Amino acid sequence: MTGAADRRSLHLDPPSVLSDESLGERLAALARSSTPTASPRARRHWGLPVAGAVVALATAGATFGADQVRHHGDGPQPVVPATRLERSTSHQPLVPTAADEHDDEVQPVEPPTTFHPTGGDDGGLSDSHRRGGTSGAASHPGDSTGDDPSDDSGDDQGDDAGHDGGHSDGSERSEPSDGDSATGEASDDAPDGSDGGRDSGDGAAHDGGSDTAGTGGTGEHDG
Amino acid sequence: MSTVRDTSRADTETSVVALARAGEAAAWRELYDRHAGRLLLWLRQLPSGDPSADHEDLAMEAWAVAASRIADFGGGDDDFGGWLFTIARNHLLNTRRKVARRATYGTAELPEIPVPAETAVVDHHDAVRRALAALPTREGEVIACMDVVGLDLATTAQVLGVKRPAARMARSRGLARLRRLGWEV
Repeated sequence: MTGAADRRSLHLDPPSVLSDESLGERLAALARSSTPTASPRARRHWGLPVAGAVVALATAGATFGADQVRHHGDGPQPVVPATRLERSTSHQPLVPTAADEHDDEVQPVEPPTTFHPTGGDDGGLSDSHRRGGTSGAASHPGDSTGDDPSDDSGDDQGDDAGHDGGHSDGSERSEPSDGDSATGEASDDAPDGSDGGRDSGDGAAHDGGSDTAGTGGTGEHDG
Repeated sequence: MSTVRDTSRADTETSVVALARAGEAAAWRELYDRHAGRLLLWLRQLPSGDPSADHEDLAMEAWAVAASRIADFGGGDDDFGGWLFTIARNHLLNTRRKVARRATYGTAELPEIPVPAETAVVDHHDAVRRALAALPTREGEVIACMDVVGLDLATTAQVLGVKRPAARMARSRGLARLRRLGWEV
């Protein structure tokens, strides 16, 4: 067929396509399972909440906008002091008073007082030692004798040794622990020895190689 | 099915779609015999963009969608053709988008297989297809619907989603181009 003959008409005959029984059944089955996807009743169900949400958003937006306009309309307010400043006092030179001179005096550094593990007398502890927070049960009179030594005295020794940090006083304090003091009994009478060993170990760590604390810790761990 | 065919035209146009909506297999066969040939012919004239796309598959997908969405269709039998063609066109556009996204042209580089001389009808169909492909998209679609398949102006405008004056204008412009190319239209 030539090109001129091909261009006579645009109309084409449709192919002969006929259905069969199975095709009709399949299409009918699809149609039976078909349900409307959007009905006016369904739209009414979600129309009311959407309208409510729109109203709420509009109200919130209007309130926010009104606040913005109100804040924007406020001009800069001058800062006024609550009380009138006295002109005479503002120009007076500052003169140190007797109280200032008293505060500027250098306080002499007091040497740390000795610590008695028996703790029967509270007067032996200075204020600086009491503020250190390590006095604990030992600072209270009667704790060393009335309470269970396995609970308190071991802690006291470890803390004190740790805070004193290798002073010669540590050796002095450690001596009663080997004798009849509450500290020594606590280390020996501990049910499992764990408390005393832990505390002594802490003390050894803070002491940085102190002989006294190291001896206590080693003894407990070896036992 | 014979009971459906024997009724008057007006009753058939309303009852076929109604029976099909109710799930009657005979009604669906009636609709298929009436529209399937033109639908397949129309799809063959439109480029799908994918050489491996089968127009028969596209047509069957359109029929399946029409059967599954028949509950949403509120028109009569006169409107069913336009609705069915619209579904098929949407499927065709989806196929084009998929092809453009994947960009698979596995057979595009293959040499064309020579067509035997006895397939003159195929030659004519191929010439029409090439002529429509040479036109602007809107003009080719309008001419494929009205002059190749034989749809009326209202159905063509419905299928393509355009106004009737726009469809009429596109058809006149497309026919003018084809005349300049030697087509006797």
